[in-house]
Amino acid sequence: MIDKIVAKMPKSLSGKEFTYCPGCHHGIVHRLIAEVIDELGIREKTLLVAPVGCSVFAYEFFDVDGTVAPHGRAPAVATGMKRAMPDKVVFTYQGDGDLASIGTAEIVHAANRGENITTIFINNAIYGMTGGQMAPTSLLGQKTTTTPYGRDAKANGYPIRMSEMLSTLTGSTYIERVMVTTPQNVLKAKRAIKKAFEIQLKGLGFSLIEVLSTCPTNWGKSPIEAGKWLEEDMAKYYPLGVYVDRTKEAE
Amino acid sequence: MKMLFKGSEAIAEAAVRSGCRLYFGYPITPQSELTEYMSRRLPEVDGTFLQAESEVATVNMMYGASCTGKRVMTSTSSPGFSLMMEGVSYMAGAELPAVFINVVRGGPGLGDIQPAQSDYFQATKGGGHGDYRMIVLAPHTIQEAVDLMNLAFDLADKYRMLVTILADGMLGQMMEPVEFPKMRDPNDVPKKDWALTGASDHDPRKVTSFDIDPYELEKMNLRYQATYKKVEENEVRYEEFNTEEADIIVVAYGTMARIVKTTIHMAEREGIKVGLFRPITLWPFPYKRLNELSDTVENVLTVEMSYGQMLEDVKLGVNGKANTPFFGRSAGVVPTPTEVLDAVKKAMGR
Amino acid sequence: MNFLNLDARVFIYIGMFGSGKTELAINTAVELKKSAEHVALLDIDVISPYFRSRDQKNALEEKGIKVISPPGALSHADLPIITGQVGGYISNKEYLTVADVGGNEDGATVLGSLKPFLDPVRKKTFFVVNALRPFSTSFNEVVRNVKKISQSGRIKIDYLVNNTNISSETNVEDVERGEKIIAKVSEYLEIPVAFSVAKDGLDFSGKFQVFKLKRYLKNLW
Repeated sequence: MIDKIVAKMPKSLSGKEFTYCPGCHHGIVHRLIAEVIDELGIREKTLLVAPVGCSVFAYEFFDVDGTVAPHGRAPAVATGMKRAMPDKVVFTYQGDGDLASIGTAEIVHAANRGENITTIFINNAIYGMTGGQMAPTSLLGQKTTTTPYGRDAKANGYPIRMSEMLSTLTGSTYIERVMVTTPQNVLKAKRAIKKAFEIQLKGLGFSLIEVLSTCPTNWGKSPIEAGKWLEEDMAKYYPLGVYVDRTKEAE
Repeated sequence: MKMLFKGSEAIAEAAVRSGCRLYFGYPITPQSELTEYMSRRLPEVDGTFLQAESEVATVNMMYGASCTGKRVMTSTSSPGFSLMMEGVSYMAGAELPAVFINVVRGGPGLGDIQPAQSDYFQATKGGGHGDYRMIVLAPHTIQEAVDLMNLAFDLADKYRMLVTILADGMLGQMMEPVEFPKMRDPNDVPKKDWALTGASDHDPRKVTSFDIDPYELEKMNLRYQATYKKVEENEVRYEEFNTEEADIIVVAYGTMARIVKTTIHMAEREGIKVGLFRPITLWPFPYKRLNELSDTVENVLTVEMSYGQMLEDVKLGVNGKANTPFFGRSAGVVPTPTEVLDAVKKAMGR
Repeated sequence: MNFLNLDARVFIYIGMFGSGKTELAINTAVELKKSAEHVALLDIDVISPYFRSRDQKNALEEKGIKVISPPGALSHADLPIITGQVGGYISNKEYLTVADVGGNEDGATVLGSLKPFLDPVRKKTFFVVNALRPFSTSFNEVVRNVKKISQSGRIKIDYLVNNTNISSETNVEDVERGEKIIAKVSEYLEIPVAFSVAKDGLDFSGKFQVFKLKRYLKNLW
């Protein structure tokens, strides 16, 4: 007999079965976003801009109005939406190939304009959708299908730290890097996501939450190994924390 | 009251009068006046002007704005239009209405900043990927450009399609007296039961060009094709000038058609009756009427500020019923009325 | 219009974009050439990509007017080029010089860069108004434009010019409409009106002197 329901499907998820692999963090992050939308009571005025990448179906998973942007252009699409309807809540959900490679210009300028939108940035150091190619955030030495000998700085440059870079822009109001490997840091991630949406609701400007995530399938690691690699290797290069918080100044 | 307007400014004002309150753009010669005009004008009517970081961003901002159901536009010139092609294809696939102004300059590549018509293929045959079409309107005077703006936005909304006004640097830069239509209420546009406005009074809506299932994507494509067919049946527009009992018919659009009108008067003095067939919609192209006219003459001469792009459509229209000689100059060099007259005579073997 | 009575060696046309500065500058140079030996026309329009005085270079040089514009092929560029010769002609005492400045605040800004040359010479600056152009149709708009442009050009405006027209279709009422607005602006800003412009063939007489304008920048057709 069930005494108490401790967790149920958030209203802001459509209930459509996720397409994500076991051990992948997209699902956790989707749920956190949906819970935040529910808690803030903004489902009816939220517009989602999904990317091209593994999360291309995000617009079907969330029970809100949504669209899919061309690869990398989600911040520009979101800008158009928000400028047309400033009273709506607009968020983009983007991976590292989308945000940190092909869409670098769009994210930089959306942040720099202080565009009043929220971006959830999933950094898993690899191209998932297209089959494990090098991402701009792949670590040095990391083997991918396009760096079979490991990422070499001479040939491929260095893993790019987007949160650090974007936090230098005066237009960025709030940027935090989190991960979702343990219950504690899941809670922390949720608080960060909630804060980002609250900042938008208050009209304080651009907010971005970078979530370090796994890709067991393309990393060739079991979910447990993947979690470990993320905590031990990725998080070392991409330190967690708040990179910029200008909410006080913006208020 | 008539006022003196530059083509670019007049198009901008006409768009405002058509109820457009959202403009995204990136400066490029020879149409920056349009962008600048909007930056001054839109704040006066509580509209939104935003200078994007690139044409790539511009078209995607339009994508986002159009998702909300509001009227949106941009303006650019050839190299900028090339950059927008990605978004154009996505918008066409997502059936998002919007209006583009391409003030064409000499190309390819960086080319120059003088007037040309060499983006005809790009506009009418699809510069982006996929089986999509765009309605393409080609005004030949500033007043006509103004008058076509309401139509452009109405067609875009009616068919959920992109509409491009294909102008050239000459039309963009010259000044003429114009009269504007009345200001339309921006809220007085057709209801859009697909727009993303927040799932408060409807089930969550999705706007996308994407379906991973080929059979589903095929269904979407067949829907686009059905729309295009309707447009071909209902929206063909052209002007005929002096075509009755003409000795030769010249096909030209935009600024080139204007020059041909001068040639017509010059030819008259030499006893040649030149008729002008001027497509106003470059897509859908007026094949049918051109085919009928081809019965009446031996020669249908195409004149362009490009090297035989529209010529291909003219040949499809004429369908072997008449000779289809060609004269054109491009790269920013505009043929003079005398050069066109020479081409007319040559075509007629005089 | 007798420009020689104005106690000036340099004549500068500024104004809003598309107000007709270039045609006026060309006509003024032609007028000056009737009584002066050395006349130069400076094309310092860094704004317009087409329809610039440099496009009439050959026709004007045949009349003996020196046209200073970016050299050769660069004259078709949309680069903001001001050649070094410009300062020279402003300073050259042998020459009566007409300057055709680009439109709006942005076009006038270039005058600031020529300040060291302009300050010591006798000059008159004309602010051209076409009250049938956008953002110039009312008293308030014109006043705002005059203030903004004289600020960005860092230059004092000596005269207003009424160039109200709608090109070939201009009629007497159009010019009169401009006179009304500009007379009010003149009174308010205490800047005299130099003249009203009437295109060749328009029989006009009004409050101010009339300058008959010949059109040099023609369309191809």
